[in-house]
Formats: sequence, C-alpha cells, structure tokens
Amino acid sequence: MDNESLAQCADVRKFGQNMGDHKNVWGLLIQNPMRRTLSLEIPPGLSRRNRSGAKTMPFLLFTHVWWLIFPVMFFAMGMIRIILKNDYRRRKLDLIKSYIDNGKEVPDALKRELEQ
Amino acid sequence: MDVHFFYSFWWLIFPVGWMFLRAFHMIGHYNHRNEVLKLLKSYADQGKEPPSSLLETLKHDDRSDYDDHWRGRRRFRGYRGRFSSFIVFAALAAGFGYAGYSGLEPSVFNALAIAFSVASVLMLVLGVLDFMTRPKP
Repeated sequence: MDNESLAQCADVRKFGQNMGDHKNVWGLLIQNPMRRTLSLEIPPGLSRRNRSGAKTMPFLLFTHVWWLIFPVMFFAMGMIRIILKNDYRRRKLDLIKSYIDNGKEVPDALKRELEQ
Repeated sequence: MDVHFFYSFWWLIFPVGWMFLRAFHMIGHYNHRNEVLKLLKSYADQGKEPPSSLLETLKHDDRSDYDDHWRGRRRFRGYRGRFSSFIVFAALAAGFGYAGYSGLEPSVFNALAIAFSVASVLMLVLGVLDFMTRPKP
C-alpha cells in the first residue's frame, strides 16, 4: 500500500468500512453496533491531523473507545469495594475475638456479623 | 488538545468525576469505620463497657456503601452472587453468540455476545478476588 491509501485507512470513515467484516471481533465491537448509536465523530476538518492529512491516533482511539471508561471504572470500583469490605470484616472478627479473649459478652451489634 | 475535542466530550467530566468522588467517599467511609472498630477494641482491651452510641454505629453497616447486603437474598451475597452472575452472563453470551454467528450478516447479537462475555469475565475475576480476600474462619 502506498502512503496515500494508508492515510485513507487511518481516516475515521475509511477505518469503519475496512473493519466491517463480521469475523473481526474488534471491528464489530468498536464499529458496527456502536458507530451509529454511541460514537461521537469529530466533524471533518476540525480535529488535529498529521502531515498526510489523517487524524492522529489518540483522537481515533478516544473517539471510538470512550465508552470503555464505564466498564473499566465499574471493574476498578468493584475491586476497591471488595478489598475494603473484606478487610473491614476481618477487623470486625478481630474485635469479636478480643471480646472473647477478655471473657466478656459480645455485644449484639457485633453478633450480627457472625450470623452472616 | 483540540478545542473541538473538548466540546465533544465535556459531558464525560460529570460521570468520571462522580466515579472519582465515589471512590474517595468509599475510602473515607472505610477509614471512619476502622476508627470506630479501633475505639471499640481499646475499650474491650481495657475491660470497659463501650458507650452504646458507639455500638449503635455498627448497626448502620447493613446500609453501608461497600457491603452488598442490599443486593438481595443472603445466598446471593458476596462472591456467591458474583459466581452466579458469571454463570448467567456466560450463558447469555453463549446464546447470543450462537444467534449472532450462525447468521450470515453481523447483527446486534454479536455485540451482545461480546458484551456479555466481557461482563462474565469481569464477574468471575471479581468473584475470585472476593473469594481470595474473604476473612477465613
């Protein structure tokens, strides 16, 4: 391929046409279903372009996969939540153990942790 | 940075900012509850009776941010719930994948299959993480 057709492939509209093959999973996920509904395309002539006139890669990536922020953040928040929750539960069990070690009655509010 | 790039995605500030605030809220709430537990522990170590108002705060744990007690029945809480949603999402991904890839034309079923398989993998990873970090008796 010459430089001109490479630059055309990097253009957003050509990019979508080339990746329309249903065997191409990445093209399906990024292009076909999402393109009309989710993707916000920058109007032509308004985004930053490289020397051959094609849009630069960060623009292409972000305009097509911006919605990945939501599943990735969901995953990260879930991980934080799980780690903090289990650490808190471990500390609560330590507290119950210290009550038992001192030979005292475990308060009702802590007993509910044992029932779970 | 192109100014039109900002015009296209300015609204992402709100959801992403909300997510960051939520994460900070979670960590702050965790620190607060840990301090309460430390106080109770020092009371218990000295053999004193803790004030009832301090014990009252523990009762709010059911409605806390990172206990998923509100998610439903007891047997679907925690890692069990994540493993069961992994199974459900995997089955949905298999069904939509069969529907999508048995046809000639690429359809919305393909996208649904991919999305559900990603969701099932995420649920499996979260469930394994919950299982590994849980307090062991």
